Amino acid sequence: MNDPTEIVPGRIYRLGGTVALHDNVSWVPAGVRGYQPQNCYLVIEDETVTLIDTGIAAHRDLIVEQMLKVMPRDKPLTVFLTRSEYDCIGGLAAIQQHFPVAHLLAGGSVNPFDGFAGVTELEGTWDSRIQLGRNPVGGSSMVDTSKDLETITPALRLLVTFWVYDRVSKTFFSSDLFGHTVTATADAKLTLDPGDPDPTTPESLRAHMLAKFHWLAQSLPDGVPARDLKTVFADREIENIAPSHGLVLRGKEVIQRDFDRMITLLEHPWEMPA
Amino acid sequence: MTIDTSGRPRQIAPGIHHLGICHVYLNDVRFPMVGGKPIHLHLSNYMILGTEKTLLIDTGEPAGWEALSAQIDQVLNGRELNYLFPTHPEFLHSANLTRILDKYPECRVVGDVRDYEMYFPGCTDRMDAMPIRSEIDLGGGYEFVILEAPIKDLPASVWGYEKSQQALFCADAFSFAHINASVPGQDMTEYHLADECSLTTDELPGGVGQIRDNSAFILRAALYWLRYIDPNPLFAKVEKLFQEFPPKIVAPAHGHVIINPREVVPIIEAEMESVSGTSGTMADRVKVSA
Repeated sequence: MNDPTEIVPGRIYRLGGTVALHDNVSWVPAGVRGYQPQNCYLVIEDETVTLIDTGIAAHRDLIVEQMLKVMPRDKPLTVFLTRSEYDCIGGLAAIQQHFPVAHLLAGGSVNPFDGFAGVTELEGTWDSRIQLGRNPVGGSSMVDTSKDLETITPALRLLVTFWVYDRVSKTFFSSDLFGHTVTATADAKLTLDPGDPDPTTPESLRAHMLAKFHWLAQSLPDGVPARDLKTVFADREIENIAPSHGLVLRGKEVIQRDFDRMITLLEHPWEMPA
Repeated sequence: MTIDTSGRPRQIAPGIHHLGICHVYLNDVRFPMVGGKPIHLHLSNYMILGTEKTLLIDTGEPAGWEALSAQIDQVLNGRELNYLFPTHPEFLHSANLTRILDKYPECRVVGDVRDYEMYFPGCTDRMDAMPIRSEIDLGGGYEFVILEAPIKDLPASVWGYEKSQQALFCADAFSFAHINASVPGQDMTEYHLADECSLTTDELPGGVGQIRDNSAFILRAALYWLRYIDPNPLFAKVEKLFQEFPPKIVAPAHGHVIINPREVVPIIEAEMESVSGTSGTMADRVKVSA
């Protein structure tokens, strides 16, 4: 439970802990109990290592412990932030104290509200004077320090968000999307694999999505978020979905099932499931 | 980017003070100068001074901490800070939370504190979860009510309302800036100029008639999801809230303090409609669902 979870052998590790649910997490529907994993991911490539997000501050010491177990010390570390929210930046200062962070990156944007620039001013982070790099607008969509990690700017978001896709392992890092699962126990398995009991229903998916993306119920019927997500999946082969919250979804059968449910919801978010 | 604090802190009503900074986009290729002056974007805080207790709304960001800390001390004038009410757990509004708790040992965080245990571990003993419609008596007739935010930035967004002065604190909603900064043909320049930082809407040169088109950029940036929705149900919720909690003052996090909300809010709502989804209405859903 406290060890990193190997998602793709030798390449992707899930880091972080779980949070006990008692109406204390704003993106989990009221009344839901159990535990929800809070995730960040270490991607180990031939020449570089990329940490996608840094988890929540409450798990910062655990994340550092986990990184010490799997982080190759002979490769430069890049931290890529999918969002500037606290569930993505909470471990940054602690990680910088233990590991030299060669690059701090986020996707490209021209938005004075996106808060990414302020991340470097956090206590602990400011001491290192690290600069945040952004993909230039209209420039490459790859994570700057990687040859296989692609960044995607999604339509479906609250605050500024960047998804990441690993072309080698076909893993989709979906940030705050597909984070609709919880576990019954604190030490439950952190992945959902083919053959595992399906924890999601259309009702539970809708409840989680409305808790996070509150505006969905007022959606117009042009279905832009649905079309955008369909395009993302049509253009890429996806075998794993690695969200910021909840279980890591693995295997085409599991992926297709939750993708289909998500599209059904996004195309008619104002309707209760039949 | 630099910061500017001109005109603040400023009392906007008896016992209610406008604090905070502006981001100044100087020599920034994204935001051109206007008349030789840089353009600004508000990041505002508000303080309510009851006779017994004091309450600060939002914490600002690290870059503005030194300035805000001095403003808080100036407004408190030796009093304790009793309550901190973050409108939502987004960086620009809550990043100085631990600094405020460290500096003001009597201060307690109140409101919707879901998520804060994850984000600020070690501070949970200073947090009081208060449900929507909770009221905090600040003394001397000052009463602060925690309201559900009809227009949310994040799931945990909340608004506040001070009853005696009828002041509504609305986070990222109803944001706009002064149109004199607008450059024709460029919709990313709706910011105000240096000498307008602390003006209220009834003091702005040219009046409210010039608000058209100048909140659009803030709305597109801060409330991205507007482009996918029919905003009319939101407007209905806002109107219902206004009937129960009629505002004389609307105090946003970004933008000038609105002293004439009945004139200004409809204009901003029209801007919200202009940036919202335009490909259909509620009636079209019936056709799609049939």
